[in-house]
Amino acid sequence: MITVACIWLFYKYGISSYSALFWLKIVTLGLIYYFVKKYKSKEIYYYQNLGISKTTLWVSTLAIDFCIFIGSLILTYHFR
Amino acid sequence: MNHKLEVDGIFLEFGNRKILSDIYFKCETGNICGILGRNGQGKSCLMNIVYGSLKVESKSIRFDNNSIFKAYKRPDLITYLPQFNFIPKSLTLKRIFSDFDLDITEFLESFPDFKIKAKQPIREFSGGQRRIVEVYAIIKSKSLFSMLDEPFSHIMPIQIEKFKQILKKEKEKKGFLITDHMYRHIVDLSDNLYILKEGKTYLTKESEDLQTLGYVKL
Repeated sequence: MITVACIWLFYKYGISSYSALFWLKIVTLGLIYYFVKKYKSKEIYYYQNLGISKTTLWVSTLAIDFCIFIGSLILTYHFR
Repeated sequence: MNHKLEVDGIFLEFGNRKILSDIYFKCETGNICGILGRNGQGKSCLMNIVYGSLKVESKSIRFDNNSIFKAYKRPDLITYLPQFNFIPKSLTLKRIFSDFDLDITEFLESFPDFKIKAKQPIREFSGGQRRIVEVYAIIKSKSLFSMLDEPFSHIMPIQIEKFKQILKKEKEKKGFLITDHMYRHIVDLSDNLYILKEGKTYLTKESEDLQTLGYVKL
């Protein structure tokens, strides 16, 4: 949702909005980390029982999300 | 092959309150080790320490005499059923059994009520049904040991008896560490029964010990 909103704003306002959108994305990733850690901490045991560590979960999900964000911005820039 | 889990040297305190200080227990393949204790004695903390998810000043957790500090990184060695629901609600029964590499047909034979629910996310299950899936997945998980924190809570008596049979069969392949306040089931199942009292473990020899150590009034 955040990525889609950022792409829409980037499409509308262009490269001048990049810096603000970048920091908006970073802040929302931080908020997602905080709320998931607070409200979904019990579910970590599911993944640990499968051998997936907290670090692997966080690094993979946040990195994939951020890559999708950057990739979408690049594509929008080219097709705009 | 027989495997051994030994735990000792644990020291845990919250503020000035000493929780665990003189702990020793041993669990081997083929054994069910029961741990009983009053509320607040540190049973769940002890399991979290063994699992490595609760950090303490000192501990010694040994699998076949090899020290392991972060057992949660080794699901081949140990799996853990916490006392609360831990399976993400969006997952279906099929997905859960696939993740744990378990045979769903065997489960559905034991618990036929779930046949119509195999493709539903477990958010649509009742609390007891969710617990049945969680307890079953951990008991049957392909680890050398499993720790079960209150596996019988929220489960109806007829299902508890089923789980006791499953545990007796599964212990041929692995070791179990169980705690629950439904102590008669724990006494019935356990090969070694420990009482946790004032930070210390006491290996009981007869059911009168439960009264002597202040856990029940017989």
